[in-house]
Amino acid sequence: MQPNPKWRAWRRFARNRLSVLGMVLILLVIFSAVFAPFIAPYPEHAGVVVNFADANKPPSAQYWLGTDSVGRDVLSRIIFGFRNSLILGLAVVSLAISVGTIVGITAVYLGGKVEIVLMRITDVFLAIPSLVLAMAILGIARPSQMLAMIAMAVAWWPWHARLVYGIVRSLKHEGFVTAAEVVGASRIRVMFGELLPNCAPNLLTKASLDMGFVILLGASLSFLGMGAPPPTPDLGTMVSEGSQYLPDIWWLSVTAGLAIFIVVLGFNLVADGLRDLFDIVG
Amino acid sequence: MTEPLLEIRGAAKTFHVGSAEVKALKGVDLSVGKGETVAIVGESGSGKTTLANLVLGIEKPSAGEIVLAGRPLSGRRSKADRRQIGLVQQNPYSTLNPRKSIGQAIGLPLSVHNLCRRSERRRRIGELLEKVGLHPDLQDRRPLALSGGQRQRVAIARALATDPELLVLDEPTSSLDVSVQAHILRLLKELQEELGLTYLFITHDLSVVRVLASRVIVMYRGLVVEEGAVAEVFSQPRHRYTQQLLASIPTISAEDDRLKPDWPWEADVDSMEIVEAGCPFRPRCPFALPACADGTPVLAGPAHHLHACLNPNGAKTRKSSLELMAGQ
Repeated sequence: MQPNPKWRAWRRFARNRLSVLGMVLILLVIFSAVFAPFIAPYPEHAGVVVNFADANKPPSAQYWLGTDSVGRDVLSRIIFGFRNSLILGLAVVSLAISVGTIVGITAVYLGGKVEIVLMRITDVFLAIPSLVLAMAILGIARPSQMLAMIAMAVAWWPWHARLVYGIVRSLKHEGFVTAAEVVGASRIRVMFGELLPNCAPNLLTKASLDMGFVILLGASLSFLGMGAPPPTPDLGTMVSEGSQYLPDIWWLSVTAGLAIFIVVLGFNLVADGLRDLFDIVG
Repeated sequence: MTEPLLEIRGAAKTFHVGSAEVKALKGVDLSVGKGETVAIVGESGSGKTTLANLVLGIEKPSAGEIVLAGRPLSGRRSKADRRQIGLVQQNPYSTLNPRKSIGQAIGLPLSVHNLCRRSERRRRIGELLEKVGLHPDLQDRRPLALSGGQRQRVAIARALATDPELLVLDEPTSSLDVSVQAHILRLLKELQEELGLTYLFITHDLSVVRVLASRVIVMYRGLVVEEGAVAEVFSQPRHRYTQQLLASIPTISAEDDRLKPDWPWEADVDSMEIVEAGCPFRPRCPFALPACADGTPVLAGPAHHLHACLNPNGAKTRKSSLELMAGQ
């Protein structure tokens, strides 16, 4: 009996125990994000709830991870924070991949002046640190979750453009591209039907890695007060708020910081596993 | 020769590399009859691949025209024109997209040209696979699961998908094992008889020419230097370049060696000197005359065996064999 290719792929991925751990972490995070209203002990604490009687309580049986300065349950806010982080990561990464892929493939396939212009623009964006670029964009308007996403996607697409550009460039002269052109396939068809599928393994690996980085970038922006405005439960904002009360009221910053760490670590470990699975060098 | 299917008239192609000009083709005339196989041979840089690219519409000619079945093919090919010409490439490991199944590869021309209904598609692809001697169920596999010979068969099936009249075979057997080569050549011959196909066969492998082609065109630096029936050209090569090419085929017996030319054909084989005017073969030719630097030789001789040389009889040799050897 032939071994099922999917099963074989899983075995290859699972050979690295750490990537399995990463996968478990991410699945837990996704699970709690999706079912946040049912899992969180005090779901209403994700919003505007003021309960000064219980303010700044350390971790206890009633509030597992303690409460913040207005008496909201930290665990509930972290669980809802996962939700916001994942939405942010997914939105930014998918936006960045779409734009980057289109720019990268178009540059190679059309070549000439189009290639030069597109790739120089990409280089200019790459020269500016992502955090600085995102902050600059956020500086022009009132901070909101939506604007933060757009700003980060603007800072992030050039990486994908570079990645896709490199892969497609190495494939441009392969026989199957010539074969499709000779038969009369349209440019769009060659670009997205023939070339794009060959970028998929690299893009998937990079997307997983980026989820971690983007969530971290989002947390940094929130920490600097440029993320989602309160009372949205945001992990970066929580670390920032808690830092005012360190070291006495440690549980706010430390638990939210650990939550960020878990998400980022999980995505990085999975990316490692995917890289082994697809045999991607570098 | 039957009525011509493909005619190439005065085809020239100049590439601009920076400020430099590279003349890949310097005016080539060629006619391929219906159902005929014409082989184009020559070393790399002879222009044979450029010629194929002009026929396929990958490159546009700088001058001259390509005529298919009496109709000149314009710079921008129509879909109907593209249907008429199929391509089989050299490297079976690059000619199939590694992320697409065999069925998707063969299905591409079918869907580009809207050749069959979705429901019919699987059956049609199976039919094409059977035509090239493969099992129809292979269409669900990825190229990775196939051998080089099987991949080349798939490439042939893909080329046949649009029912073309002309197949351009660009070194179809060069990267295959010798035993597999024979199978592919036999398949190509059978398909030609069955479907009445016309082949334009680009190769540097002369032994394969004898098996498949009826006529052979020898090219050197963008010009046709000799042209004729394969048996004619191979038994009595007239042009020194053709003689050199044939002599370069490794031989096993001493008897074969007696067929080699009596002039020092090995002397300047590696010469990379490119001359602007006159006969392009001049730097490598021991029989070159001062006149060879002036005029480009034109094809002449009986219709079944033409060659282009200004000193065909080897008279008044300017460089003696000794001088040529000493020049190395």
